Amino acid sequence: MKNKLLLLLVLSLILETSITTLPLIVGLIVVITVLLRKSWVFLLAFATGFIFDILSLGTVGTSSIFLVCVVFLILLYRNKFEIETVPFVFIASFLSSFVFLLFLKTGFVFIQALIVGAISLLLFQFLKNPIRIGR
Amino acid sequence: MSNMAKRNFFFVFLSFILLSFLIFFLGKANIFGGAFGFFGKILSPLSSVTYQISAGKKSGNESKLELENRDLVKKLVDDKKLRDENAALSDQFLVTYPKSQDLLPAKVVGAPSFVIGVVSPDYLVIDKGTGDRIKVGDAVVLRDNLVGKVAKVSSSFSKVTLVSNSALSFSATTISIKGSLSEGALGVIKGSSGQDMILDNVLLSENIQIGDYVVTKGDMDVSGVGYPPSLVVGKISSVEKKPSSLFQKAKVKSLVNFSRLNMVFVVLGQN
Repeated sequence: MKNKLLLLLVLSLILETSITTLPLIVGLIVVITVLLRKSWVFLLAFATGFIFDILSLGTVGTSSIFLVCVVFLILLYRNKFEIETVPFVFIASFLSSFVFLLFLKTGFVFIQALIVGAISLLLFQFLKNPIRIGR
Repeated sequence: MSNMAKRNFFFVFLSFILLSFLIFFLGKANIFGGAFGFFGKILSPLSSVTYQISAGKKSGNESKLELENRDLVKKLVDDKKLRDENAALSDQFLVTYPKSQDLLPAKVVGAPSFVIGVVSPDYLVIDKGTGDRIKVGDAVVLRDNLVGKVAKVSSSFSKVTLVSNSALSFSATTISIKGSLSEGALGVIKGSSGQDMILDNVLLSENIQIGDYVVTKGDMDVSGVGYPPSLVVGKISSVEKKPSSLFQKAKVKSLVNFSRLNMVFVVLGQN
């Protein structure tokens, strides 16, 4: 699963810096944090933000700060809430995408955040209960 | 979570947040100027490479004829690309204003938008940077139409904020071509989403009409950085005039389709 997630992260980085403004990396980082719950996700969030800022010619560090904070908040509440649930993944990815888009000052913030929420949800469901073909 | 694990978790978070802030401040001091170009050069053609790999996978059982056919198609595509590029260059250099010696042709290599091809992109990434004498604030044009302004420059790439972006605003005047050419109204162009812009802060006493053209007033500094005057911003598509308001405003539509741009021209300042 780790490899699949990393591959998806690289793919979303390429898509987000060339053809779409949907904050796919934010949704993906939320899903990775919820599913794996490991400390090295901080490193992943930091590196993803760093590369994203470089490729999108943004101010280096801003996305890293944001993504590291998102990971921190999710992991902080892992004992208080049941985080591996559909509502949590949707709300967390929707809210974090919404704030991220506000920072980037792009248009259609609400709709884009909703779409990323839905994509994260599908991805979460798929990775949590993978469809076994030919069983 | 045990106390030990909790402490460890906070320590990891603090380390990464401090590291992020450190690179943020180093980035502000332009320490990563070279890294921008380096990573950009390595990673930007990845999508086309992925496509080529997937296309090349099937080549095992192809006949010689099919391979030849594909080579010919590739040549045709390359030829078409070259002809389009030449047409764009000669078209731009036929325009007497801005002067062709001040212009630098640049290819658009990225234009992220919400819905590709439908919604206008927020910004463009072009394949020219500081190495090509581009500076932050340089105007970007297509023929005599304003496309945007250079917002960020790395060694080999630049980010261009489009005129339709809400982050941009600049002074502009209107030109009426109905009847006689009359003195235009002065206002401020502000980007909204999509292809449209708003011409705001126009005095109620001024006469603006649907179909009038909006051009830049010009705000170049002494080094030649900024918008040159008389570049076409767009055409007025609707006017909002309320007697109770201080100013009137108008919706302006650009004549350039931002989502289909392949090549643009940067107006270089004096270096």
